[in-house]
Amino acid sequence: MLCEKCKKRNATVLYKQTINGVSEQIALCADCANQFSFGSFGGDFNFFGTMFDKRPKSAPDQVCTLCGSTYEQIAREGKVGCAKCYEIFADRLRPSIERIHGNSRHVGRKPKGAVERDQKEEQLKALRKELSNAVAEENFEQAAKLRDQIRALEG
Amino acid sequence: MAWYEKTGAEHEYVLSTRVRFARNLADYPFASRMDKTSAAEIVERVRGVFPDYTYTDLADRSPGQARSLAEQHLISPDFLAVPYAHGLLEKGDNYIMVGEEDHLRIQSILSGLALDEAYRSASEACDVVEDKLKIAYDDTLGYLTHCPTNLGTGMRASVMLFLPALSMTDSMRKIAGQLSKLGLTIRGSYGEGSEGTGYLYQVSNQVTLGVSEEDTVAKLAQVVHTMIENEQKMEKTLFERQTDKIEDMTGRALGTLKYAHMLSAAEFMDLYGKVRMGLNLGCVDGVDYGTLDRLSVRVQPATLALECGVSDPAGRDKARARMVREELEK
Repeated sequence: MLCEKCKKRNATVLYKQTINGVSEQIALCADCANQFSFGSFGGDFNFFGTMFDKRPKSAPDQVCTLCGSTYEQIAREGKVGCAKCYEIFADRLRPSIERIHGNSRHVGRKPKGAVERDQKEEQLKALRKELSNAVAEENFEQAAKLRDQIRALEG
Repeated sequence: MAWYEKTGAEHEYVLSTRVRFARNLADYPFASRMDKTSAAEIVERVRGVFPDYTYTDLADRSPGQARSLAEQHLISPDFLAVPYAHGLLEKGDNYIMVGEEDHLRIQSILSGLALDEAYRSASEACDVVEDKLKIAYDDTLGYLTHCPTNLGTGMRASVMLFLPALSMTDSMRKIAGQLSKLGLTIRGSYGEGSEGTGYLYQVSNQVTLGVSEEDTVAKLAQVVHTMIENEQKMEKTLFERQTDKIEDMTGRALGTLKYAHMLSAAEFMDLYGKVRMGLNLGCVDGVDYGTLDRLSVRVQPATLALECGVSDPAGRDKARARMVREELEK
């Protein structure tokens, strides 16, 4: 059997990888296998690219509305096209991100805008709770006040 | 003055500390989908945010000038190959690459061990950007980056360490394995794939998602201190067991640096490492850390060619040896 990479020398190594339970194998000659193990599989091999889930899921032809990337392109390059891609392909990117970091939820710094938004949401949550209490107690005057406050906060 | 022109804390074992943040503008494509117009717009917008920084347009620079910036560790080697508008913003110890893999790579680079200071300084520059521009951010994934390996904080904190005794005793592979369990990584001083020349290594955090910036910096600081202690112990043990050999090796290295007439960059780095270890052990004199560390950057091929105006390899080796002789005679 010929090496599937160089297609010149005889294949002597069977390289096998399993991603999300799907196994792929490739037959390589000693030279190509050596390169493979050092992660420099010619120009088209990308370590993180192999970590992306390549199984087609829903909407296989979906294209990012901002940068025009498809999920297949992202998986091949191991790099994400733009911020919007993270939203559009969120479900398909998540398993690889968890594999890379062992975590999937950010902790730490946030841009100021995000901090303000979080504070506003906390405030809204508290006000809504107060509102439902006020309604339950039939304190309608207080409920009206709270409703106005909530509307003002929601902009 | 750049980091290598100063001497910082723990300079016997730590050459420099860098903290960098990857940031992207929310409404522009990332590097692999970038077009010339968007790239130029990004440069303009980012420059507008930092009016007090000086800007160097990398497209305007000769390949040698650009390469020299990489040799000084102020920009990444990848930054040299960017095909659209890109450049470097500088102020004090802060260096911001605009148009690298991420739209912004905000870095603070300091001499010696200075993790807290580098973190503070780079964070302040992040605040400025986030105040003025809409930055790509997601509540779950944190700062959105071109490569998913940088998601979350987008922060890479790294320390350039001098570890001759641990290298000579083949301890680095074991250390690398232990570091990886802690979410840290170690590599040669010129980034991914480079060998540990001059016994210099960069230790940095690998994980950026799910760990806060402060915790990352604190863990790295702790590990760096442990590595320094291990290196100190190993140097002492080596010296006690093989005093004659070490004195001979470091003395010969200094002799060659002082009197050679041809020096390649690789030979210089090897001798530099040995002499530097001799300084740590107190078995060489007549030279100081500052001179050696400045030379370690000045003798790199592109930087040397710019300073001496010689670009052929043989001429460079001669110019390199002359520069080293003159510096060590002072």
